Amino acid sequence: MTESEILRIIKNIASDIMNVSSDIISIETKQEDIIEWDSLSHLRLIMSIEEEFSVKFSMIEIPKLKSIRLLINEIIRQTTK
Amino acid sequence: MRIAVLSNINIDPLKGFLSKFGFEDQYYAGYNQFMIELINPNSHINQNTPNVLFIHLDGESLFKIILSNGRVKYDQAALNDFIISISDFAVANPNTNIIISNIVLPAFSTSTYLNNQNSPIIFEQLINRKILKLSEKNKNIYCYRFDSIVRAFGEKLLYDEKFWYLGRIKYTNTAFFEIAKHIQNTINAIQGKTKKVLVLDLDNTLWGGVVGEDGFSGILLSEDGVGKIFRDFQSNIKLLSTYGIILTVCSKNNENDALEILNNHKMMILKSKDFIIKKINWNNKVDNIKQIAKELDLGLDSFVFIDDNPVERELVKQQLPEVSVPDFPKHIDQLNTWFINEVVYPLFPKIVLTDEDKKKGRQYERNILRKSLESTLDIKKYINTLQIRLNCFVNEKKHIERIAQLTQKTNQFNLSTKRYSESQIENFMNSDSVKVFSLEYSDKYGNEGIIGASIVIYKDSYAEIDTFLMSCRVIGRNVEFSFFNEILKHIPYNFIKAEYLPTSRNNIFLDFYLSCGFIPSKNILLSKEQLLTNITSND
Repeated sequence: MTESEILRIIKNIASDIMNVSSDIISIETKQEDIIEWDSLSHLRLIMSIEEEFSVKFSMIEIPKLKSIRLLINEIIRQTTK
Repeated sequence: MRIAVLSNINIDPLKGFLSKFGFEDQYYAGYNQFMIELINPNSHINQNTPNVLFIHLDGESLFKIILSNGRVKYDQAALNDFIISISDFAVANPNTNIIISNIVLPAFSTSTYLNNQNSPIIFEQLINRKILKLSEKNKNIYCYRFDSIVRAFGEKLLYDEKFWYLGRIKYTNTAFFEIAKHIQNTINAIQGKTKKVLVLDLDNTLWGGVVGEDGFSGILLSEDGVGKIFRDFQSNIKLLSTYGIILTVCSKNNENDALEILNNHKMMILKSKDFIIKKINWNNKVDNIKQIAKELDLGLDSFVFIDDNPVERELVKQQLPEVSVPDFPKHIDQLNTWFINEVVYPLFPKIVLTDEDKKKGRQYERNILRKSLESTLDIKKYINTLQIRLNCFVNEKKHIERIAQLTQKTNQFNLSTKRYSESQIENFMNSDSVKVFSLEYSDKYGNEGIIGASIVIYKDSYAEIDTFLMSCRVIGRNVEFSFFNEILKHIPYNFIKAEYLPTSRNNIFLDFYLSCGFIPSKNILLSKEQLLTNITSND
């Protein structure tokens, strides 16, 4: 799966969970850019990404994955193994 | 509608799922604020009374206490506080419908196989009895069985420990979706927003096959195999009708063909009179359904249409969009689980039975009752209460297929375990020196069909029982004695022989064999008189 395909899916998931327009989400978006991206939304985002891409993040890394780019990199790393 | 959600765990993700079901005005008390919300007169729910209050508590975090010595106990005091505070709120807010999930504690714990008060399963039963009582006492408290979801899906699919330890989110998206779905169903049940009429097709819906092609005896409707699926389906529909649901037929058939089955087919659980209206003709089903609605004077939005034919379903969906048209299952073996999960729960949910419902409910007693009687009553009394009726047939050609099947499938209550094909059975029936007996069983709960068979060979001076068998379904009701009695009465000989051929599975037959007076591996001849005496002392 390419970076842009992953981005498209994440934008859908994130806009649904945070109740924001997917237009405001890009690969450069960080957690502090969206006020709705709070700690609860973050966990729900991770949960849905894990289900969607069949990946697993560890408890230690989940709080650190605070941008779309970091999330995409981690998904690519796990799915191309 | 305003819904408020209280929990002692992080249940906020439910919000997204409930909004997909159309709940817009939702309030979530902060994490673990449920007790304060209930008892503080200034709390949000006490100030803005919701229409529905959903309370979902995690039993493990609410009641489990780890003592200073490291031991675990379940907290009775916390349970009582919780029950009282909900009860008080319910009394003070009679217009709020309160839905409480019952409590589910972990399936496995360190107490392993101990069944004491520290075992979560035992404590779970205690809590849930109290919650049930609460709902019995208060008209606006409803207990919703969260444990059913946990049973159906399992802890592994519903719980995720990682998010629990990260943010007290105990459940997965699957769990939240199921909870939201059942809240929706429960509220529909409380508000009586349920369907009233079931419109049913006949061919390949209430029975397998097409009566116009397969004929009266060719349709699949029986106590075995595929026919059993349809019989169970009918039983589920019948049960639904006892909750006050109106049954109707809308089918494309020659009316006489279909009525012949509705009136006379022995395996039909649904009888002609169960259907308030029958439209059996070759007209457009859309027109027929409109006509039914007119005759019943009910809106089409209270109609559910069930038909295996996708073309008919599509037509009704398009032209009568108010009618609910559930998709039919792709695999017929799933007919009954599909019906319960996709039709009954979403469209016909019930949470209380009205007096009217109850009256109807008593009219139809279920097989389950028969089973419960079996375990509680003295066996003789039980057999008497069953009102068993037996029909013994001799050389009945209609039963050839079933008799052959019984010889091939019956392993336990079987004298000789000899397997015969249909043509062999037919040859026996055509022979002057062989008699083939078949036994039909019915009782007050219904007809079980042909459940016993025997083949008797007439020798020069005696009759030999070649085969004697019965389906395990009716074992334990002394039916075998009556069957043998009937056979003996029919046989024009004074001496009888029966050779018991032991296998690894037919040990259960030996008791009966011995009670008749036969002795294994000694092929003795017994007089008919002797046999009849032995049988009647057991019957």
